[in-house]
Amino acid sequence: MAGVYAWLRAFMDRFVALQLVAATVLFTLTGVLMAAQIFARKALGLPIVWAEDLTVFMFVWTTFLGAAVLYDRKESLAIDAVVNRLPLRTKAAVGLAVDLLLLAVLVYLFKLTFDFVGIQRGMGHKLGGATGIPSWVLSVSVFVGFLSMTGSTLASILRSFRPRREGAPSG
Amino acid sequence: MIPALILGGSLLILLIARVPIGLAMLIAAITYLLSYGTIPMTVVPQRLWAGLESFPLLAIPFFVLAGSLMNVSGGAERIFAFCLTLVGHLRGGLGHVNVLASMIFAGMSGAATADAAGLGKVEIDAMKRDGYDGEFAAAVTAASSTIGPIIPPSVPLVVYGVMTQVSIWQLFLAGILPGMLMGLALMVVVSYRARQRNYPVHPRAPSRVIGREFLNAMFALLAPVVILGGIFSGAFTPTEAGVVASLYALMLGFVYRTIRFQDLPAVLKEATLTTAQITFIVSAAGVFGWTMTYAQVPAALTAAVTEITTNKVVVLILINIVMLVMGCFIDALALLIMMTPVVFPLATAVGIDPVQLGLIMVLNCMIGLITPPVGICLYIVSDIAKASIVKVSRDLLPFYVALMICLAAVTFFPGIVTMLPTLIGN
Repeated sequence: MAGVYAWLRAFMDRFVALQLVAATVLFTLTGVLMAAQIFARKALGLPIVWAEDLTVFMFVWTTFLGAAVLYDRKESLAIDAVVNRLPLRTKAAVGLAVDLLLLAVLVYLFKLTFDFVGIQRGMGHKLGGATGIPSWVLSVSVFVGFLSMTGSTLASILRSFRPRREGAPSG
Repeated sequence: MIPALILGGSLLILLIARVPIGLAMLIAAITYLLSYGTIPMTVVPQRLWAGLESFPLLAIPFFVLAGSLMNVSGGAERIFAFCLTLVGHLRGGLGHVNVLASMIFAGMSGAATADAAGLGKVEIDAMKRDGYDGEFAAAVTAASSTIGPIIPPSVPLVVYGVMTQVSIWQLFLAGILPGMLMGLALMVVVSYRARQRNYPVHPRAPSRVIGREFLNAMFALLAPVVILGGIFSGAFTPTEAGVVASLYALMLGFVYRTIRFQDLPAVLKEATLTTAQITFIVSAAGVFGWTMTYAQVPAALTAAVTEITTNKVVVLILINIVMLVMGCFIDALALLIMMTPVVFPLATAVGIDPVQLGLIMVLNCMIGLITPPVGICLYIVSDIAKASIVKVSRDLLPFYVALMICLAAVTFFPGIVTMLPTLIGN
């Protein structure tokens, strides 16, 4: 179990780091493209027709990659006022129960998104506007986000079952 | 009744169990759709990204980035120094400086946390050096940070505008007078406390010094003029204004030589994650809101309330009470995103102006940012001041009263909110 956890954790660390870099690059490109669009429209009178669609596309990807990073770091917004007041053992039990529920839901969401991407590909639907990007490319961001969250949850569950050394702090 | 119980009950239980807010909304929606829905479940991933496919929503990342860049650009320190020459000679001078600087900073940043964390550090350190109690310094900073999202630009107002299709331009205009009112109310409290505790008074700054500090802070002070002037003159859309604000803040950092190219990745990473924090919840709220509409929860709630009363003021008071209580436990933006689809149909059914409702909801959320047990700005300022949250909350009491008076004013006198949009809009 400890070996599986160590492998999964190392994999997730790399995957999450990659997602953070990708999200930051997309965020930066969104800003650069928007600035270019403003300049082209206001100063040159030549709007970049595909800029708006592409920025929204990158924004959606930024959201789901960034959300997966926050989830892995356990920095997603949550209300901990109640759970933090529980005794340590109860808190750990609630944490494990929540992780198991989240795992089930995330696997389900992952499957739903996979099906949805398949449907979109089959229909050949494209985003509106001038980019002509297939819609399924946008849905893949949701798919990747949930895949990453599933991996993070699994790692968190395995961590709960990891044998602890004598005297090592819990949590 | 049953749909509302399933959606509301499961959401509440999940939130209490510390499930991330975005996922809690998704689980509650899925629970209902699996139990009662007759539509394909692929609607869930479809609604997830459809909720984000909105160009005005792109204003959020750029106002977040502008706030982060403004904090590292050194503009906050210069604004603070300039305000000190203007109101530093009043009793409790640095408290007034704190409020005034926050009002100016509000014109370039769209988030209260950016004000509390960036400008707040400058303000609290200066106040402590000047002999103010750390708790009081933290309390003034927390209270004044709530002005940030009321005076435009404002991330919560963009979120509300996108969710309800209310003009963001009108919402931004509507925030100006309530923001100024809040500043005035907080300054009254500062004066009262300063007299009580005999806080220091600085000599009046000679006009030569005022002029020098003005020149020193000029580029930073021009930021709200460029951003708000651009929006209200129609030169930029709010989204474009966000980009201009970020570029302006970046330029300030290069002019003041406070930002180096190697600092940028960290600032961009922080802004990326802050954006994702907000927009993932917006996306999940798209699914939750859609499910509520599918289950006809807002319609049922509207019918239930209007059966008891159709009085606008009574409905607004109810909304205020619910939001203030929930604001103590739920993060401001998450609360706004969760409550808007529920409250908006009810409010419009009884004839409440959607712009007034937006300002009232955001103001409630801002008060929530400084109320324990869940008040992010309260935590930030207490940490900076190295003060106990309980003691800071105690020093915040008169500021809560002042902010409640402002909330009552915008509730009972809608003209405070609607005057500027009506005047300028016409």
